[in-house]
Amino acid sequence: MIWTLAVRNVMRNRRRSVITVLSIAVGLASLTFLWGFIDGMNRQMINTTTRYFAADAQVHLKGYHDDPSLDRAIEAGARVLEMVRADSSVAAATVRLETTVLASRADRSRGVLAFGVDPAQEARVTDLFKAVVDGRSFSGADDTGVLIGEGMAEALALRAGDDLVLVGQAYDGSVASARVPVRGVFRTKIDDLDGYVAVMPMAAMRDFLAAPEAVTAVALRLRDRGALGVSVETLSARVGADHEVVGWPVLLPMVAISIRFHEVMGFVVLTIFFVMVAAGVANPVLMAVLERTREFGIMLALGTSQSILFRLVVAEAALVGAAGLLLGNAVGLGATAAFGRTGIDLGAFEAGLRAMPGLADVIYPVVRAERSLAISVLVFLIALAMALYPAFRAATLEPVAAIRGIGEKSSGGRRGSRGETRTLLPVFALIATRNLLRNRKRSAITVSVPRLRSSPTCFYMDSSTASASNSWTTRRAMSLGICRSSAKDCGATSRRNWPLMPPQRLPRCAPSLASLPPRRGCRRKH
Amino acid sequence: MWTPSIIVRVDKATKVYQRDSIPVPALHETSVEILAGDFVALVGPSGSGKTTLLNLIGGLDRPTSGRIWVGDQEITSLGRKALAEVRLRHIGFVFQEYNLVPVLSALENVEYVMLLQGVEEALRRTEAMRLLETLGLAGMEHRRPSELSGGQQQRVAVARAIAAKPVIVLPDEPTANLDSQSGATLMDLMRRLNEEQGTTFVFSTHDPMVVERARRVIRLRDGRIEADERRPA
Repeated sequence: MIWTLAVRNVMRNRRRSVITVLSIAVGLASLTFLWGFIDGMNRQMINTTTRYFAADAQVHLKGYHDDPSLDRAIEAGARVLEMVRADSSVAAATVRLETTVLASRADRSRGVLAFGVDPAQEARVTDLFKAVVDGRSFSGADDTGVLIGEGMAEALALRAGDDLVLVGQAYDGSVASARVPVRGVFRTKIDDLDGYVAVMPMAAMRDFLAAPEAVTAVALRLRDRGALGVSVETLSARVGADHEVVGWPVLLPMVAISIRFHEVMGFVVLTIFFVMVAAGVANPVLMAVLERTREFGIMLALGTSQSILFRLVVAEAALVGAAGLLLGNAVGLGATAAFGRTGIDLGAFEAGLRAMPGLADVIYPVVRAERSLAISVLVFLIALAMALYPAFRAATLEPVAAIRGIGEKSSGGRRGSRGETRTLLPVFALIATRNLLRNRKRSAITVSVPRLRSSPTCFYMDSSTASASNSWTTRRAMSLGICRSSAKDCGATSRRNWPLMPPQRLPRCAPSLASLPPRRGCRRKH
Repeated sequence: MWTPSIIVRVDKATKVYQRDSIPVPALHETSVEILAGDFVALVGPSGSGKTTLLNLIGGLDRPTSGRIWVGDQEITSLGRKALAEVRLRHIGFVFQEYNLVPVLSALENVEYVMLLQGVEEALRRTEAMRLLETLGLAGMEHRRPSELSGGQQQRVAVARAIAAKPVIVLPDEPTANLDSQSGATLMDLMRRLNEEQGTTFVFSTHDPMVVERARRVIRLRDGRIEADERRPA
């Protein structure tokens, strides 16, 4: 009987019920799609950056990640490689020899990271060789030459077949130099890979550095990247305390930060959505209860228990919530799945996308059942929670007072065929106006707040700035109300070029924002 | 002294409402006994205490002082839940307006109280159909309250009130919103139920037509019983 009554009560004011259901559904669908989009971006960033070159994890000699130098090279690289390959969670592994060199051609030069790789094994771990767009990739250990990114090729005015001069420090401390032909140019659309990485066969690299045995890293691909934490633990135990196993979140701090940032954004939106759902459900349910005070009074008089009335109101909210969930999930998951197949082409925003390492022009939203389920459960619980107060109110009505209609709208208004009071809009507008004028000071403050908020107090900040500045200069700048419209002003450009580098290797940047004058049109906050 | 034929006993019941912290007396040390099979009209001007007395007898409200028995149970000391149970099992109500649950059909409204009582579905369906037929509502079982006239709604309310087989039915100005013909029909029906089935009715009214049909008239004024007269059957 409770559910029959609940269904009929929900259908009683269809317009209100439809609006409530739609408000939940539209919010849920939007949120589902947004999270699918964020998950798609995150997955693409991780996939691209790890599969192009960083790999899922790397094994170094202890301390190498914090202070990468040839002094911390692994002498017995082959033995460590075998130990890593012996782990069941590892799908493939390969050795690398890495150092910083100066790459130059004619009067142009730039500092780059040079990697020696085993072409056959590297191809099993990463996909960099598939990204070659000019010249040829490596196919075997006997290949010669160097692969460079198109950003570096552009900066040094190089093409496949040109010679590149590398100068660095050899393993024994002497100066290492070599003239190597550019075998191919790759394009990953990851700025620091395309602009600052050179890859050559291991034999050539060993020869260049005079390091016949040493390797600096064992890069590996896991069978299940989701089990990274467990794999890192087991590998750490396997390779011993004098080595370190570093997962991609540590290897690629900018990717990890970006993903975290996206997730936080998602949670902020989620919180706002939950507040909207709460308000969207609480208001109509409370209205429905207030409108039916007399009816509840009659039901109580007939002997209906408080518990039944309480459950009735909650059941009505549950029905509305469930309908909103069904519709919202159908639309949200449907749209996410559809765009997951076709992708969303954001090529028009390529410059912005390049700020996030590993993000391609086309984003493929991802449907994650567990996330949709969690959101749905939360929305449903919120809908129920928002019905608790109205339900409690209905259940604790005093029958006599309720039958008298205490709490109902005045009976002076005209009543419709179903006994519903029609809205007398002009009268309400008059009452609302007079109420606003009752406390003029408060009304004036309320009206003026949006103007203050809309004043041109703005500040440019991207995730790299936020992470690198440790928020102090950011907070200081924001507290001063300084306007920044360009990333260059806060040194973000140079950081963005090095997102794959550990913080210790980043160039100094971020000039004092506090010293910058306010931009024209800005307000200083006092 | 309690006798088996007395089904409701009110002993020096006083009710004082508080409106904006100002005490408003509604009933003053009123004592009355209702016998099984009574057909009683509570008569008096507005504010005389008719509805208050009905509410107290029906367990919808509690007296400020005094005691009330329904059957052999004193209801003034009962908690909210127990009072609801008394109303469900022993009292039938008919209110002046908006009596019915609007989303239920006439049949479902009559069944509602039996459902709360736990009556088995087939039995309550049969009984509800029978009552509606008795009250002249055959063929209107599946109409919603909004599809019924005021008189028909009141008859459905009477059917619902007696469906629970209460010891007493308390209609509060049942004809106030009805035209004279509908009101007379309703009163005749209640009178018939009283005579044929022995159902006890205590109703408030200031409609002379209703008073005429009563077999016992209790006149109230300013919260006190002014007169209590019985009429020959």
